[in-house]
Amino acid sequence: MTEKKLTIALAGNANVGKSVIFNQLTGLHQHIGNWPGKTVEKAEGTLHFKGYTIDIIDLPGIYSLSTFSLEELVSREYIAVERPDLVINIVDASVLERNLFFTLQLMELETPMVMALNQIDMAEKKGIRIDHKKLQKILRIPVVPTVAIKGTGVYELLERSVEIIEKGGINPPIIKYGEEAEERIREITKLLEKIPFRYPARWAAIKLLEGDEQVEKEIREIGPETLSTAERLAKEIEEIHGHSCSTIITSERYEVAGKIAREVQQIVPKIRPPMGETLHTITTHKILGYPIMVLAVLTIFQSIFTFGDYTSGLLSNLLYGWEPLFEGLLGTGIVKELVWGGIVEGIIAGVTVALPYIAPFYFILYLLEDSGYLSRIAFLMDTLMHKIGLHGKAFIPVMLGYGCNVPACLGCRIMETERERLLAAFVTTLVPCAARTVIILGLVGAFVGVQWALALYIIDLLVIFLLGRLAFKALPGEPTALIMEMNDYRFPHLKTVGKQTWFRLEEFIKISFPLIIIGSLVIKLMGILNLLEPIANILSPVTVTWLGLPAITGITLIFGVLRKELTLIMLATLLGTTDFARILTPLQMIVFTLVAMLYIPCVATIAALVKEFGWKKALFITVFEIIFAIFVGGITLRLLILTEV
Amino acid sequence: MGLTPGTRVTVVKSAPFHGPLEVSVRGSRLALGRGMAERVFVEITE
Repeated sequence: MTEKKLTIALAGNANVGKSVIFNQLTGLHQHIGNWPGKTVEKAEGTLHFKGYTIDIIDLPGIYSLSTFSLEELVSREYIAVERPDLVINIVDASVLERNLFFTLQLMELETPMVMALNQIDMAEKKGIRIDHKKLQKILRIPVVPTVAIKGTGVYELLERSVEIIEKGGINPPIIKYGEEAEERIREITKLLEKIPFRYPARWAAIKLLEGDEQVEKEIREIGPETLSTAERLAKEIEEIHGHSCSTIITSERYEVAGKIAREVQQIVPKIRPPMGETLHTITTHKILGYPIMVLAVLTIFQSIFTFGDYTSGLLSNLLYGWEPLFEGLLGTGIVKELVWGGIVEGIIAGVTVALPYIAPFYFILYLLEDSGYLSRIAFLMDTLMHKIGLHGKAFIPVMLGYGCNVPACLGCRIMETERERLLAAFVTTLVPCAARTVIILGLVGAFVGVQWALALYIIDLLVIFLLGRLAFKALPGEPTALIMEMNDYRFPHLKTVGKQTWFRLEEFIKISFPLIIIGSLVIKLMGILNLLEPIANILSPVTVTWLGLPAITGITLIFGVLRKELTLIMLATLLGTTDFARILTPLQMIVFTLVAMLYIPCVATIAALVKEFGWKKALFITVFEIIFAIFVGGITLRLLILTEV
Repeated sequence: MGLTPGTRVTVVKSAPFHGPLEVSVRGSRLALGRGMAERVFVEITE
């Protein structure tokens, strides 16, 4: 007998422990993809329970660090159109009122539901006691208290879910609005019931009164007269209350949420402020907050670079050790050159960056996000980021950029509008990633002096700031202000963090590896066809005349497109020495490093830009940065000569 | 985000350099950028 299939969706605000519950339920049987045509992530997993094969869909969390309205759209579309057998609403018990607001909205979608009252232990620590039986009675859906991190209540949650599905589901109650609104909702509902619409009629009626753009758009096509009636009725409500109709409906929803919350929760005085509170006070402190942040960030970078440098060296020694093997198999001819030098070296290049640097970077970043510290950093950095037309959240991709620009570009998804995503992505491509740090430290730091390396970093920060500001002025549109929830600090769930790291790493590999390999092949071919010399000569007006560098650097800069630190490695290979002081003057080193730092996002970053913003914008950013780097390089050269440093 | 007319809002603190405000609304903690906070009109109750 084949097992019966069920689909259960998880829905809830972000940071309520939804992904932890998802992991507890599905274990290793999960995969992450994108919702069709959207940049919103879709996580799916399966489990077997009491003779059922259950598909679990993790709907995107809303109101989070990574919020934009797309996520809400995806969630409700899924619930209304795909009709899962049941929705598990995961609720943070310590902020019940805000979470209930979302619960009420879910109920309006008229779907069978079970509630997981999560982090009940944290709520108790905060002095909040919740009578879940009473809550269950009021909402008329099963409410299961859970502590997801420990796995408490997860089994019962599943049991109750299956029970509800077997019983054929209960229709959740529908909240009643004020009579003025209710009357009009009924009127629109009646009209909507006559047209075939994929959402529940009452829900759609409420959304029309709220002025929901998506619903309006869809109704306009199938029932324009219903839309105009709704608009007229919304105006009537506005006239009665003196507020916009959406404000009134939202307020009423909150009022109901507040009333329920007050009825079921009991605040007991806490004996002493919990540790999280103290931590929050210190880490967002006016004065103390900043040194703590700088210290934390520097410690993270320092340890990642130390770890990365060590493992990267270890890995490349190991992997390059395979060369004789390939020689033995393919001889030393052109085939081996292409296979080894093109494909395998390309893979090695990717591996030696991805594993040592990017994996730990992601891991620590998710640790910080899960614990709640990232939102505090965003809070502290808001003012500064506003100078370049972004808000505090944009600091997160910028920070990511110091590790690698590829995840940073993808990380820009946390920004709310397309304009801000583009602006943030542009800024992050200028952030010196791990590879660029190798050049700065390996060339300027080692041969010219640490103070010059530091100066380059400062110049880069200035460039980021100035270009960011310019781009902000040039792009049409208003900057959005920061609005973000700062959840209580909590102990991160390592398994969830580990999984997120893995999925990100997978994404990185998918985007960047093919391009790094193709790029390596192309350059290898150019070498075999003896094209490198002529290209260096073609570039010499720029490299020699304008930048004052040896012609050979033209070739290395081309290699740098693959991976920035290749500029340095190739320089050593082509010059036949690692003692760069013999070939380059300090001045040349500074100019070379500056250009290498700014001149182009590497091929993997370009791919990420194309993926997120389309090839036109990616091309524009690339071309702009090449011209800009050459310009700045030449100017710096002349300035330094003038000042005779 | 729960900032509806008539809601009690407590300003907990503000970040320096004219930075965002930390406010407590309906039992949750929100960071509000100045641009957003300026659009919130309040009546002082205590």
